[in-house]
Amino acid sequence: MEQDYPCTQDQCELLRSSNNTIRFLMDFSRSYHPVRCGDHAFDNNLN
Amino acid sequence: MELLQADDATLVSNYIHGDEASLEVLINRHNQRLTSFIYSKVFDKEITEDIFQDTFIKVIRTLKLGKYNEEGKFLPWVIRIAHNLVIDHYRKSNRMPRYESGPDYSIFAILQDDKLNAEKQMIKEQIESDIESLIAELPEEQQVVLEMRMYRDMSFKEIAENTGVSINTALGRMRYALINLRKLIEEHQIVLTN
Repeated sequence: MEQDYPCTQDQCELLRSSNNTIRFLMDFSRSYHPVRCGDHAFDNNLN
Repeated sequence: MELLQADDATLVSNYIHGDEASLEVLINRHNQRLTSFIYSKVFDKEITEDIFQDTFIKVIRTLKLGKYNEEGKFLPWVIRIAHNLVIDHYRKSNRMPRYESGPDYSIFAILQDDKLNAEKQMIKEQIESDIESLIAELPEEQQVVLEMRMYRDMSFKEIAENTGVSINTALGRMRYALINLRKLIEEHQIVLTN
């Protein structure tokens, strides 16, 4: 994979721990359903 | 397997039409690049994780609300969101990073990098736009000197001849233009990094 920045120890740790973040995002995505009104969609989950 | 080979536009379209797996491929595909980009701005693991997460929450909301503009490319769009969140972070924490290249740092030095990749190019354009709007706030005589010096690469002798003032006056106007620009950068809390 192309790397534009050198990978520091912190960055490598971040990448290793990113599974939890990705799991959270996928859960968020699956549970996020904007309110639909005709052709329009409205955010019902602002926080 | 097919999803892994699909381009970003196809994955975005799939996701908008309900295929959640396409989002996971997009996140994984750009994980390293986005993480590195954010980390290179904030130098903190936890903040990087927070901004990465907030970036994709905005991506998810925008895509599901049908507000995504397909004219742009996906990654530059995501990087732009992350960049704005980095700026928000510094505004909230009131710890603005400053671009410095010595005691008399030049904000124009960052415009001279000729090895820019896509996201740096985008940020460079934003910085150029920010600087243009700041320059417009300077007194006109300072704008003229600054434009001649920085954009037309004229010597102070040439600037003096073209504006009908002495070299010392031209130098003084340039000096005040830079001082005023720095003040404006502070006032507007503009982040000038690349």
